[in-house]
Amino acid sequence: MGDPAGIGGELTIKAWLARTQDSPAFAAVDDPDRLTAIAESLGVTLTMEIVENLSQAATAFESALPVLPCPLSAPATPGKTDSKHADAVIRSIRQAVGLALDGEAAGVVTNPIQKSALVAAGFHHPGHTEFLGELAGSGTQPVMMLVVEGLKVVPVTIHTSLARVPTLLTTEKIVHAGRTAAAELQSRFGIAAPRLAVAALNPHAGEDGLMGDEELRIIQPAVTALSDDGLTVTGPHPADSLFHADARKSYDVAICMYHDQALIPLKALDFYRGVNVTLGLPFIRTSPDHGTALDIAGTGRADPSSFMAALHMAANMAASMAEASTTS
Amino acid sequence: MTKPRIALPLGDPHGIGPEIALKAAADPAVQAACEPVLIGDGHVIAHYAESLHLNLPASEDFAASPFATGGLSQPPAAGTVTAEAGRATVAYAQAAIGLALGGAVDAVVAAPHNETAVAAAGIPFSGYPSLVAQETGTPEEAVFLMLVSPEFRIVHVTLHVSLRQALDMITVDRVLTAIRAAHTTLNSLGMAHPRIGVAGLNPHAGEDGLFGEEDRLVIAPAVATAREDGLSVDGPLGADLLLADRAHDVYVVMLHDQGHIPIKLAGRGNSFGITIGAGILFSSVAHGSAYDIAGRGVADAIPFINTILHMARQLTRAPNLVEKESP
Repeated sequence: MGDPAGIGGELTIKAWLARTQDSPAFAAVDDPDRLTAIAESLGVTLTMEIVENLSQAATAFESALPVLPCPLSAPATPGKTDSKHADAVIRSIRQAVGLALDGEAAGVVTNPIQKSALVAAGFHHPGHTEFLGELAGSGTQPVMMLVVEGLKVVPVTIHTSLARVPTLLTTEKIVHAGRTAAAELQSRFGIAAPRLAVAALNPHAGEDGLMGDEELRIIQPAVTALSDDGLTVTGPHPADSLFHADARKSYDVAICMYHDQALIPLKALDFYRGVNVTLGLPFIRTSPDHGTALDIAGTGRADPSSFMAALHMAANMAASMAEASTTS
Repeated sequence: MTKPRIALPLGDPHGIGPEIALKAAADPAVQAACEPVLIGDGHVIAHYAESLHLNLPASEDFAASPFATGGLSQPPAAGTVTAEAGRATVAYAQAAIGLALGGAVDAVVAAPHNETAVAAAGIPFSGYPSLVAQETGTPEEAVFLMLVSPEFRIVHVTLHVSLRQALDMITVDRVLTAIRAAHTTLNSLGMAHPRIGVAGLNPHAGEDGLFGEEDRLVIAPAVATAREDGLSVDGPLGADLLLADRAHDVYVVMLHDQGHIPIKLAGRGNSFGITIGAGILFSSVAHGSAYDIAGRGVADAIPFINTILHMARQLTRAPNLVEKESP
């Protein structure tokens, strides 16, 4: 569902309306009344079917949007978040994750949440990713990967001030990100021998310590450790040399040190179809790489491209896993 | 429209500088795009023209060129580090900067220097941009690199420093000075009211202080002051969204990689840098003086030619250049 004040419901409806024979079947874990209201405001005819499980959903999908009900305690107003919806927002995530952990759902695609609306209800996680890590069980350290056609990036630090990045970066975190990415590219993306490229933190990769020593102290040892694992890994690379077309052909995933380093090239290559994939979970989870867009919620202007790309990616990942298990 | 005049100081007379400068001055595309003005000792130019059998423009054009006397007393000795060559390198650049300040040329594109030779001459020198600052009486911290590609003009508030050091250098004053330099530079390129986009430092430009305070406390006040001055400025906005939007004539970014990543994403070539903030337009090539092949006539002038053509196109607001490939 995501935050009911955001554009999530509109994206779900638009994705179902845009379905083709190739579309993966999905069920909305959402409030049926709110979806009806959104469809009316969009001026579209929406056929819904309340379902109890995902096999019913798969049957219904072609002719109706299957909905696993997750009722709101009060109607939602587009653009206006309300902490009284926090319970339903969290319930929707738990319900979807439960279906995935049971193996009933091939994966989970989450609509954007508004953290501020959840904090008031006691939600203490920095974001979706960490919450899903907790739901997956202790010891899970999820890793975020962002994907567009032709580029996959893993930011080792993400939503933190730049001033904290040098302190937060550790060899262990980079190694964990690299190992998790490599394992998942093998198991869920059909890449038999993933190639990792690790970005530097400083300009020109620090020029041997002349412009910062994080490359020598933190990043190079991580590259060495990943290489010792038998992985194909290069770096630390000056970040500005890593993203032109020729460079992108030389690796499968770029391990980046901070938000802008990963997001500038990603958004420049494809602004509308970025997908956020959570690696290291016992189930498949993707999401659009944008937020709740409260400013345009309810206007009908939300672009479902990223959400639809997330649906397709989850389906493709599931297909890759199935293929891997038949061949092994 | 009259063609812009571009001064070409020869760089180190013992390196490949004079050779590529002469080749560029004689290049038909360069001559079509601008009026190249070689700046250096007349006898150095004559020496390389003769020894390398370079086709030079008609001699009357050269008579009009304001040759600088660099004080190179002997014929050039290609490939040799000497104090005199270092002194001459600086003198050529100084003469060109002087011409640009006086308005006799519209821009300067300098051929490569050799740091060892300049050091041998006992001249404190840390690259052309600092020389530009010094010669124009501009504080070094008010001089910035603007990278130009077919898609972007990007001014860097900090450049070749560690991330930690960059964080310390980003002040209201410095950001404001960079915004003003961006504005003035685009004015001099013929855009009276350029739209300026200013990137944030932190993810999502700090998201109201959630991810760092610099955007609110440092960058936003600089933007506000620039707006009060009547400049058309947006920001601070998250660098990833701002640069993907491409709705501005020029961007001001905080870090080396924030600007260099999008510029280089489009390809290895097709971009060049201008030193701005000092009241003149100054550029140079990214490669060095290549002493190992100097004097042999085999130096590739294409990168230097492309830089001159880029500069000429900026000055005439012609469509941005797709570079020639080196052989």
